[in-house]
Amino acid sequence: MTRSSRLALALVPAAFGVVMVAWPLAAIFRRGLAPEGTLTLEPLGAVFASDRTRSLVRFTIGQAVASTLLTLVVGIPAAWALSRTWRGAGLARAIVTVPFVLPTVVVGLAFRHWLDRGTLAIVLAHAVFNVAVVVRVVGAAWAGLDPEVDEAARVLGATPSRAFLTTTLPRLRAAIAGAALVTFMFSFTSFGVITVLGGPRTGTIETEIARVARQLQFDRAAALTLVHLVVVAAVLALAARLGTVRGIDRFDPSPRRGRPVLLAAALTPALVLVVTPLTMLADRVARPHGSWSTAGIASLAADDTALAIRPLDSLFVSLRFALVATAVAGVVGGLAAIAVRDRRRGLGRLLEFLLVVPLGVSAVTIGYGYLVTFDEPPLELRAHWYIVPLAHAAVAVPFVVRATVPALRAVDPALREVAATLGARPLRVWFDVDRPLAARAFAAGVGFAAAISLGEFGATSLLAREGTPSAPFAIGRLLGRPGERNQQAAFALALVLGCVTALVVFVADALGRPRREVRA
Amino acid sequence: MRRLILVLLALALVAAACGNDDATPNGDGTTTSGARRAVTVDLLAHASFVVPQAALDEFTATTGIAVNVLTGDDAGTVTNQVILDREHPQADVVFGIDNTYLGKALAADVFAVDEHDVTALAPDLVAGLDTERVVPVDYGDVCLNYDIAWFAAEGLEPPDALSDLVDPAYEGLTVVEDPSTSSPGLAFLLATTRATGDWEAYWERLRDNDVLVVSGWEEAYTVEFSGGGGGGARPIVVSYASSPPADVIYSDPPRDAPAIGVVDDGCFRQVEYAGILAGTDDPDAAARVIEFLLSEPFQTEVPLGMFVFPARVDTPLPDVFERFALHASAPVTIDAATIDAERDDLLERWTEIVLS
Repeated sequence: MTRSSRLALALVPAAFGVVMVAWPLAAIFRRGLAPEGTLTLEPLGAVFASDRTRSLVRFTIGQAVASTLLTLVVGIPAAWALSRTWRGAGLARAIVTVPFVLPTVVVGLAFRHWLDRGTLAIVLAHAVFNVAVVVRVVGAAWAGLDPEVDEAARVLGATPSRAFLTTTLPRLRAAIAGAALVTFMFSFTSFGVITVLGGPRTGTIETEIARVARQLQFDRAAALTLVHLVVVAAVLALAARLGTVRGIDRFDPSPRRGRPVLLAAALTPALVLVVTPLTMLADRVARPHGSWSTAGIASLAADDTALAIRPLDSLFVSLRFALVATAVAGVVGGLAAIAVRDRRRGLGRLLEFLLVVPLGVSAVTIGYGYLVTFDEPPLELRAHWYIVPLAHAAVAVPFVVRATVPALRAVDPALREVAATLGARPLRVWFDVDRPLAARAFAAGVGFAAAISLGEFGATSLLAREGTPSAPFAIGRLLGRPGERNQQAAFALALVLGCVTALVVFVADALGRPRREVRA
Repeated sequence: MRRLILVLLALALVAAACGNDDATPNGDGTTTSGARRAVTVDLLAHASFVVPQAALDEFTATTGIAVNVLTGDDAGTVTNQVILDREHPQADVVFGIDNTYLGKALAADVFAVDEHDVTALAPDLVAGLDTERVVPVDYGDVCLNYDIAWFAAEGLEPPDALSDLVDPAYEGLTVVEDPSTSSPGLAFLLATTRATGDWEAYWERLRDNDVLVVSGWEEAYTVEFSGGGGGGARPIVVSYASSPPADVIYSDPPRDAPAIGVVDDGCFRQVEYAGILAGTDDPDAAARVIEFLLSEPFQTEVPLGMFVFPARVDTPLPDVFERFALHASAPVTIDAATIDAERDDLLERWTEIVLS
């Protein structure tokens, strides 16, 4: 594809990023820092200089780094195991994604059975939520590595560990950096986990933004959001340095197996981490009073809970949101990935930054930004149901981009040149060479986009909407009322939401599997 | 073949998601109006708002006004919403701003001025209120709740006054919500400023008696409270005086008596208001919706829909409410303007005392 046509492709994601991210953020900055039209920097100075901000920043970054490291340690072996071909791998891949959509109060309840509130509980919970990120991004890349490179190293006398360190790890570096980046961002901006599992004195920048925004102190909210952005920019720069290794291999979709013992050993920590809260949840639904009962599942179709509608109806709303959000994230993210593939500076960098910002910036700020931005024609989006899936897509796009770009960059340029020499037009080259090779990574990203939408994104809770609530909101409302049956319905709905997510992710993965073998 | 099945499965999911249009009107309600309905009024409410469809249909049939309910998050978020969107309000009528937030909304001048008939409402709810802007719709008391079975098993007397909580015998038994992030948390803090001699000293003693502070009601009641079903360890929690009837109605297996007790001391009376938003294009229709919220058909549904007391004096209460809901004997009442004037300093001082 030519330079100019790729630039044209970039217009769609750029427009999306400006409308859904930059503009709402700018609206809050304007309200917070220039309420009378002239910029006032006192709130900025006051926030930056205060001891409280410093300790918030320290804790926020510290817990996010710890969460990211733990997630990588648990997730990378699991990613390897799930990149191999064995019966049940697809199912296991779907299962590790389930916690991602569980409401934080539900996971928090599970954790409170064994752990006191505090940093350890927070870091563990973040690992539970984010292990799916590592498994999906790194696993997709790993599945595409050419095994002949390792074999060559072994033939030349390298030990397995040396072969891993010298040939495999460098080729995975971009994917690992991408997964670490996303995990860091999710932990950095985490809100629910902190409020449920943090102690009263445990605050992050995000919980502080929520607190001051609730008091309508938008000057402080804007200043804290700027702190967020500074950290995000620094982390992105770091990730870009780590992730710039050029792919040296070819994609080889032929199945590879692993020794069962090794597979089991690699997968066990991640499965224990993920399955434990799921087991607790299933047990809570199936045995609400310590003995078996169908009351939990039956409550899904009951219309006499505090929800006043059948809890099950909310699932259909969630599915519709997820469908639209996934389609938008797929198109926008896919186009963005193609556009930034060869651009590491200038506009490409700007676009990448713009599209990753929603991961690392306060959901509360963006949510209030939507309120004040989309309140008049022609963009009176707040009144329409599709503002919700659009907001979900804004969070999911970076994930699609992060998953797809390393795969696209790993495509051997020689393949494209060969195709072009044989007379293929640029679009044809892309369709025959890039598309099939990156399909798996793209599907990993898109499946995750569906999961993000099904799990609901915090910014949308600040918008009022008509009609049936989506499943995460229904769960929230049920847990917001005293009474055993409301809680049973909440847990049953959470369990079903988890199962539906696993199914959706499973289908997305299956559809992304390469149709035919591609060989150079 | 396998791909085909997967594609079909995906399509089935799509169909399931889209085929639900009729049952759950989630799209833009204005497109369906027009022909059949003359007027639609948008009603912005918090997430706990419940109105029976039959009552709404009845209202539409007699007035020709359709009500489109927009559901927000909690009262605090809804208040911020109407203040932020003041120039371009999303709704015509707002319901659910309570007396802890009303001052903010009044100060931001978000309400349209109109004559509202409040003669049927409890006089003490209306006294001192600018009823040309807002009307009280319901009220409830934020009170301490306790787990009856826990105290019976421990052989300890349940608390019956705020002062019990700082008694060493009750050390580590109480969980409260952070007033800067939670509505009942703020209500309880306000109650302590009037119901204890020296509220700062009270909170210092409460802190020393190992009170647990969590961010919201859900964390407090469903996670930390021993009587909330989440297996928590603390038998005293800041919640509502109407928790007992909810506990009975939603019990499983069914119970005739609540497992939750309420302390009739240091309760804070929370009043929820409705008002017409300035900028509505149909103030007359909006006024009819306010009338509806104060009318008997709606007020009768308030207790079991939202677990609060109706503002209309002659409204009959359901039996379970009559028997189990506490109507605090001497609740703390503070007018909205005073709360608004005190709030920021109060929160700052509380944070210094309890959290640092």
